[in-house]
Order: sequence, then structure tokens, then C-alpha cells
Amino acid sequence: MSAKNGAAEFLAGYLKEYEKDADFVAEGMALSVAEQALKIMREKGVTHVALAASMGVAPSFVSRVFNARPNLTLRSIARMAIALGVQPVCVLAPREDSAFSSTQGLEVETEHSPSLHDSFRELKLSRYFGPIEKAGTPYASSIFKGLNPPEEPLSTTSESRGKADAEAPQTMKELSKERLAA
Amino acid sequence: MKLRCIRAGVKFTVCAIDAADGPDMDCPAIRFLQEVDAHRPDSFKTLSNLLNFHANEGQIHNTQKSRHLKDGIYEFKSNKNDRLFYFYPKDRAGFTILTHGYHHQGSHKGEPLDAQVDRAIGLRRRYQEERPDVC
Repeated sequence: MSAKNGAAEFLAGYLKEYEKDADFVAEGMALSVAEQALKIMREKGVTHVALAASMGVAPSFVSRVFNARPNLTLRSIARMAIALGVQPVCVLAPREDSAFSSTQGLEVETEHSPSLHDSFRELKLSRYFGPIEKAGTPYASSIFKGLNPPEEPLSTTSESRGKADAEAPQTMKELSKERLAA
Repeated sequence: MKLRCIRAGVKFTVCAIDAADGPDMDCPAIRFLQEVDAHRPDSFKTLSNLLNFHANEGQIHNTQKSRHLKDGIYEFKSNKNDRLFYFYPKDRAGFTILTHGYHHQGSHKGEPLDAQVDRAIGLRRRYQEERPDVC
């Protein structure tokens, strides 16, 4: 890898080495989560203390999240996303330079296959709502052979979803009030 | 004086000041990074991540990782008290210039020593006077 002017970059070799280091990659993801959360907080005028109150945690917990440790959990990200009123998205996208190409490991049907982004979207939706049938495209779940499907969808009926929605607080303010009252 | 490229990304090209006038290298930031790599590899990975993130995603707003100190001097912070100073040159848009780094003794939340910030300001002054090229 080279710089824009053609000179070698000091970090290029290190980054090449670290791209398969799970801790390094996780730390980069944690940095990204923290930056995105900060951006949303700025846009919505939410402070660290208010975010902590909405999440029902101590401000030190939020501080730890922003410290971008590689062991940031999905639960922490989910709690933060709920408190900020945004949707967390988990994407495993193919690398441009990866030897693990779309035809290796992933059983992709080339003629009618949807884009990978659509497949992940369908996989995510199918987790909640069951398999999604679409004319001319295979089920997303059929693309990932070898991956165990969830044992049972989190919420498969409209009744249970409706009940959950009815019980859920509508706004961050309500959520904060409930937490404070508790 | 020259500039050494550390990381060229989509948003910024991160360079380090090489204070040597001759062919030899006297780059405090690279020397510091090599020292961190040798003694505190986890910290080096954090700094590498920060530099890479900054180069590709732009300015880091998370003050636990990067913050403005004084008079246009900023710092990248690792979890192991390693600080790397930088500034944005007014004559080069899209560039970030690293001056030097140091291992902060004491609390990781502590303010950097004034002497270290002054050293960064001094290196920036030299940069502004000499306007070196990237080598």
C-alpha cells in the first residue's frame, strides 16, 4: 500500500497484519459505534448523563462504552440503540480483497441471487418474521448453508408483536420517567 | 525537515514530522510508535486503529480517544496512557501532521505536561516556517 504521493506508509504493514486480529477489528468496530452514537447524541441534543438515564445505567457505563474497548457487547450496543431511538444494524460484508469470495463458502445461486445486502436484510427479517418468499429469488436462509438458523423466531405472531409494542414505552422521555420512577 | 506518511485514507493523509535535515530519519512520532509497539503492543494497536479510523472516517469526536488540548494541538489517546500529538496544517487541506508522542505517567485522565504541548507547538512552528514536502 502506498501513500497518495507514492511513498510507503508506515502503518501499511501493521494494518495488513492486524486485519486478521479479532481484537484489533473489534476495537475498530467499537470506535465506529462510539463515533456514530456521539453523532446521534449531538443531533438529538442528548448528553452522556441523559443517555445513561435512558439506558438505566450509571454514567460510568456509558463512559466505558465510549472508551471503545474491544469487548463491547452486542447487548450494550442494543441498549444504546434503544435509548437513542435508532436501529442497530449488524453486517458481515465480503472483503474486496478477500480470498473468501462470494462463491466460496457461501452457496450463492448466481442466476437469481439477490444482492448480498438484500440477503442480509431478508435474513434479519426472516429471523423475526419467518422466511420471506420472493418470486425469483432463493430464501436468504438458504444462502448460508452451515449456519444454524435461530431455534425459534423472537416474535413470529402479529399478536405477540402487537402486545410487545403496546407495552413498550414510546419515547426516550417516557423511558427515562419509567426508569426514574422505578 | 520532511514529512513521513503514516496512513493515507479517504478523509485524511496522516503524516509525521521528520526533523532531520539530512538523509537520516529523526521522526519523533515514528520513533515513539516503534517504542510503543515494542513495549506495549496493545497500546500500539489502539493507536494504529485511531490513526486508521481518523484517516478513513475523519476527525474523531470521542474525547476519550482524541481531543483538542491547546492552541490547535490535538492528541490521540490509547488506553495505556500513550499520547500522540497532532495538528491540522492550514496550508494543506486534508492533512493531519503528527508531531511526537509520549507515555503519560499517572492517571490516564490526567492532562498532558505543558512541556509536551509546548514541544508540539514548537514542531508545528518549524513546520510552518519550512513547509516541508512529504517524502
